[in-house]
Amino acid sequence: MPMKLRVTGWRYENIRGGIRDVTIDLRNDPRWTLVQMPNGTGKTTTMTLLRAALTGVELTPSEVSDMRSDDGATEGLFELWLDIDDRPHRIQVVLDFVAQTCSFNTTRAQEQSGGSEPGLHIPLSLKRLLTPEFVKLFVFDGEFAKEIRAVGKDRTTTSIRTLYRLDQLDRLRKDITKLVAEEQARAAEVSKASQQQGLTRLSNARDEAETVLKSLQKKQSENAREQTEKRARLEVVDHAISDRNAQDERYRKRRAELDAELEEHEKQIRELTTSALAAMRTPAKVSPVLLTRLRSLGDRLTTLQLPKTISSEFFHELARSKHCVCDTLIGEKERAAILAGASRYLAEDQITVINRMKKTVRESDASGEEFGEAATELRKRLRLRRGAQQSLDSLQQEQVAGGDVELEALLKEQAELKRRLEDVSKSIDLLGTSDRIRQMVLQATWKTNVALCRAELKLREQKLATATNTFNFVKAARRITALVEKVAEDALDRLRESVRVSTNAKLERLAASEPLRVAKIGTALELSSEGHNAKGGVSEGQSLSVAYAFLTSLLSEAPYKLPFIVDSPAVSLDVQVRREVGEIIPELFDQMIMFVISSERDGFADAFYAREDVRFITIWRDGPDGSHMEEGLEAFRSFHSVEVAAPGGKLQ
Amino acid sequence: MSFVMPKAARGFFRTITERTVSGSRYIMFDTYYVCLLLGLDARRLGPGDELEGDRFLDNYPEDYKAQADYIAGLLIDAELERNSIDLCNKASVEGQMVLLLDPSNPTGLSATGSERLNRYAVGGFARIEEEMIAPAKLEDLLVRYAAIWTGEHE
Repeated sequence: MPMKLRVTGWRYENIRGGIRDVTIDLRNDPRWTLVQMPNGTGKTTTMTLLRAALTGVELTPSEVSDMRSDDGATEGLFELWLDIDDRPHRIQVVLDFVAQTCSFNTTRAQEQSGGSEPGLHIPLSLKRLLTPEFVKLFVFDGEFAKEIRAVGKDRTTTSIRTLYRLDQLDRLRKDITKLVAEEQARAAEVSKASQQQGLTRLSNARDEAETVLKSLQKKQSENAREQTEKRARLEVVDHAISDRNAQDERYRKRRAELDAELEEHEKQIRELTTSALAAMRTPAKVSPVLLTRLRSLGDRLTTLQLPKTISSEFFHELARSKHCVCDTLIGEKERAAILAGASRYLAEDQITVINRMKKTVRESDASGEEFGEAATELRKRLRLRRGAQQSLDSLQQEQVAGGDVELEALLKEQAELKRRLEDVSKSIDLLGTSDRIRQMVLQATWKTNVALCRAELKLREQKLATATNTFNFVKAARRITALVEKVAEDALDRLRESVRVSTNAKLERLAASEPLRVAKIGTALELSSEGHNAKGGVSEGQSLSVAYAFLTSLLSEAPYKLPFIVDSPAVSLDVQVRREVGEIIPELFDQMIMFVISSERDGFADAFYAREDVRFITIWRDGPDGSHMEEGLEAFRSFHSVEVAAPGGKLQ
Repeated sequence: MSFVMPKAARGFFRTITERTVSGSRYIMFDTYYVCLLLGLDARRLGPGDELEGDRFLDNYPEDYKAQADYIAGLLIDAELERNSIDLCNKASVEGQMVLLLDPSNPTGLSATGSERLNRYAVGGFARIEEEMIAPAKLEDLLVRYAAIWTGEHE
């Protein structure tokens, strides 16, 4: 359904000319309205106000000033009544003659409040359509007929695009561009790559991390397998060595003693390590020197009576007082001096720390020797273990020297297994730790640690996925944009051609005897050169005929049903063309409002006399400040003679 | 500023750090602490550019919380001597404490106090590098570290 706009009337308050306080009420819906107004009565003013009301574009201060009815009027009003899809709207153009400004109010009957709202409020799609340039097409005057043909003004194509909503395709294209920009901005937070080259780089990076991870996992699994195998083998070798010792009576007893001794040393070393570490973590137990220093500091502070009982807070508080504790008045100078001095004093919380520190040192039962003693014990025990181990080694060497070749081989294998197990253990630690601090300590990287490599792979996969999605998104958006552009271009070509053919069909009737035809609709209407010079040689009347033919073709099939409001529709047409215009154009619009002067009755207005559904209104100036309006065909037809009979425009 | 590790210390102790062996776990702060005590003892303030770029801790770890007052005391003691403060001059001594302490910080130290503490750790690490090789086991460290304090050698 096309959107329908209909003018149901308008009224003026304090507007200059013969229209000072006139109301035109068209609510009985006449299809054609002819308003006869002599020159100077306010036709141009009415057209200007109609355009302002429809577009919401403010009038200039000089335009406002020119509309003032008299010096006593401070405010003027033009109110346009519209039905938009049968919903009544009242648009007020309020003119402040003192401030020379103009403002708008809208009253919409269907609104719940039903009240007047500041500004122009009409449906959004209509508001977009009713630009100042577009409104000139249907609130039309002869001047605009020339502009339609003026190259560079771009009235025609723009009108077609706007009227047939091709601009919505432009908006769609802009929306796509905006979505692409948003997607790219979102993706840029993860990865800058949205081009094919960048995708390849990210894909290679992902593959690299995947390969490294596989290699680390393989190594990890090999290490685990080797560790299990080697541990099992070591156990077998240990038993075999033990068995070899046990088989020989000379060594069995000594071996058992050394094993027990080693076990005891291991236990003691574990305990001493724990106690030495605990002692080391207490400064007072690390060294008597440190303990002495801490105690000396405590004593020194006590001697100095530090911390003092007066804190810096006391001086800050004092500085805020009017008088000192000794009743001396504290002025600005004294206050500054007190505050400067306060910074040299400990704050209360610092005092607490120092007191706590003194108390901790004073109450400590440490001797300062604890760590040293534990470490000495530990050192002794380590020596003993070393000795026991050496004895065991010697025992085994002795047995080997006695000809036990098998034991020799076993010992060699045992040493080799231990060395290898230590290496494998280090490798397992580096590969497998997921402890952040341990990773830092081992200086692990994503190329040496499985957990870090997994994290790196995940990050790279995320970057690649984001970039791939964006890349595909941008590609799809480009295809859609190209399609939208093609649709818009094709639609515009077809519409232009359709309007051109329709325009020429009307011109055949309007100017049957003249080879006046539109050759092309570009940024202007270009006439065919046949019999004419395209840049000149067209009379004002011909120009108007072309404009009518074009506008009626443009507007009559549009998705908006708009009224056609025209000022002096026939004044420059010769009588024959007037007659054609008067016969053809009225049939093309559901509503026409024509402002005419008496000289246009012949050949144009008289074509309406026999029609039904016509409203005839005559308005003229009644005295310097007054206006008069009369309805009906009779007054309309006879006005000229009255005007002639009554010089000065007064009706007698 | 909090605790910042001397640059090379992390690598020096890497074999034993954050590993639980025989029921004992040597933590990263232990490394900082063993360096610090030696630096404070020697009044040896190392250069700031030998510190790592970022702090590794904002506060004392649980095992060390009870030692915060001792460490603050040792810092004050070291700074009084390093700056040749007259220990009979109450105002000068109090001035040092005002400068180094700030109980509103988690460590109880002011920014200056933290900065000095970190640089003492650098000084202490230099001493460790001079006197021992990188420990392979925790018990090795404990024995060798104690030897530095007692002046004994194996």
